[in-house]
Amino acid sequence: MQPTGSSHDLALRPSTFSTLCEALDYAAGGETGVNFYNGRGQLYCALRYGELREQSLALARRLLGLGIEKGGRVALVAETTPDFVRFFWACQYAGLVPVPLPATVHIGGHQAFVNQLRKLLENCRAEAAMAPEEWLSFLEEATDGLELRCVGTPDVFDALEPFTGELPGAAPEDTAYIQYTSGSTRFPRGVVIDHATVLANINDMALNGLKLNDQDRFGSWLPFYHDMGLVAFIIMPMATQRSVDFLGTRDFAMRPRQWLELMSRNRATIASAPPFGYDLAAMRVRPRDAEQWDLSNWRVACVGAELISPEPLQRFAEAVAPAGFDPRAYVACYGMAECSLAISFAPLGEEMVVDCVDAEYLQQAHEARPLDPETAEREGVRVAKYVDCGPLLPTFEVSIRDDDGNPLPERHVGSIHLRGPSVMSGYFEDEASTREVMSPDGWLNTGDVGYLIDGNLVVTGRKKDMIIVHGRNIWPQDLEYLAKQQPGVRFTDAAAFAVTDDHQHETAAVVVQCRERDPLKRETLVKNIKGQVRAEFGIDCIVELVPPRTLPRTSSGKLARSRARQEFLARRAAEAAAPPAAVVNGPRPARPAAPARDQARRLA
Amino acid sequence: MSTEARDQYQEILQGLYTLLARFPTGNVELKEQTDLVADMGLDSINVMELLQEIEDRFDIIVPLNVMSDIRTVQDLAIQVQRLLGENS
Repeated sequence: MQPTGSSHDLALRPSTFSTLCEALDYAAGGETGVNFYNGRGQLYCALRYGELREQSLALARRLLGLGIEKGGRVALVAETTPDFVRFFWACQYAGLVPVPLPATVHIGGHQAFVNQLRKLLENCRAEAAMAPEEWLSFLEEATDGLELRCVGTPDVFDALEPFTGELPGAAPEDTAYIQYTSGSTRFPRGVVIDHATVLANINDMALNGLKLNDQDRFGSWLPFYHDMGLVAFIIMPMATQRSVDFLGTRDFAMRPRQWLELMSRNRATIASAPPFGYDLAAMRVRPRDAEQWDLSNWRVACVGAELISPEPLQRFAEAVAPAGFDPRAYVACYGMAECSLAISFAPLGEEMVVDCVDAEYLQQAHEARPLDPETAEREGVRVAKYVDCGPLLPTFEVSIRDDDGNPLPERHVGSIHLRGPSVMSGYFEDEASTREVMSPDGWLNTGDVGYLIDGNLVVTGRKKDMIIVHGRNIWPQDLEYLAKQQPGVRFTDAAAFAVTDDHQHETAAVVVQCRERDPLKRETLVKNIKGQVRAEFGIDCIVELVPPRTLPRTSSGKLARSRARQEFLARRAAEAAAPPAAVVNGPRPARPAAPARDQARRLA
Repeated sequence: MSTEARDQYQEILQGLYTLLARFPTGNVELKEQTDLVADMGLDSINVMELLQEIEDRFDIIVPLNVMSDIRTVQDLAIQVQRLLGENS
């Protein structure tokens, strides 16, 4: 079997499609397509877009044979398989709405996963649901008692009686898909994206963010249920007639080198990952691998999906330097499902820009005042470093606003508001949540906090996660960073958030996953973290040690701070209700030592 | 369980102990009832590394759904034995 080629005679045409169907009709005329590799690096499926289109049209008829009305939802457990892609495009031709569902389950996590699936199926009122064989039992449990027209593996759908009338197809304003955000799993919110909306974003990315050329080839291990995996690596390559190579997410996590092996073998030029992904790969690359690879074609290595810390990226660049990887390929980007995907890209082919600012002043005055690290060290001032995520894609309007909604000047930190053709129409059947984030004149409040420098966007955190103690803003990432600096505490082990103390004052709590069992060492760890926080921020915080894997994460692996907070409060409530002897797992969370008034005086 | 199957199980168990010893064990002694997450503190990245080593050592493919019902070393050994049986 041979993978589909990277180039062909078909002219690169990123724009002017009005629907995804039209885009696939055009791509079908070329030689490019999708390629799937297993965990051992073997190609097991290569489909040209023409073949994919034929298969999708046939499947569209089977789906319509179920009698689902136009706009009905078809839920797809989004494992990295050719079937997912085929179902996704079949839904477009059938006028149905595909809803990718997470395909990720943790050790011992059977019931939690079933519950999550059921929440999503109920929320989107799915009429049919597909899962690959190995996920079917979860899906069957999750749909038990729900009235769906069909639940099964791809084979079951392929055996349905086909509809023989004319395929309805899609209009630009029809819903193309519903994307569940990585927010709360208990109260899921489905982002509704229309054909015209996602195509506007892809056009913007292709022409301006990535400046696609007719030799580009994509490589990805990102999950299909994640906005970046779906939009940047399934929809965009198709809508720009590029080939794409897929490796399963789990296969990447088990054998990260396979990703780089694949990028090298097929001379892929575009890939994306969160910093964590580059870090994982860097840990497993051996020098002799890197010498054999050729990563010199890799011109865009997007970095996004979490706040960017430069250290893991440096480690990765060093590990793959012998393969010709150019660190200038790194492109910091910012995006979210509510805007289809991408919002800003740092300039291509340039070094990543880190903005160093006075951390203290940032907290007090909400202004990012530049400060060079040398001066800071000489004067004993703390520096905060943020990565410049580049200019906004041209179709976006941006406005940084204060809490009262007033626009702020450059370098002033406020909530990021956006408007443009890539913004969602709203959350699925959830008017209240939609109104919370979208104004009648089309502005989306992203919930993120940041500032602008010469029109470039710098993201500093999530607004709703901000900890405000005595009128001072404290970024939870900063407290977590301190905890993670302690020996034995890992990169994913800490969560910080605001809680109300016994005196009705807001204070910070840090929950730390701890493997240590020796009570003395645990006590020392708590003491050290509290000491560090006190030293840097002048506040007392609560430190709670919990067993590994206690902290909740979103489907894309981000820390779910608000959920971590709810669970922390629930543990405290349970503890207050139970006799002390019942508490066996670790020490009780410490109380803030000093009354709030004393702290305020000390700060003043 | 036949003697042969019991021997195979013991062999798998010893193999798993060897693999697991390379991870942070949280100062616990490795036993059949050792909980991989609660006792050993394996995080999701550790679990992926472990899976890769199991697949390579026993030459099997561990389907994802299998992991969601595993808690202890014993659970893991039973599943490996089952997968070996399916392969042969």
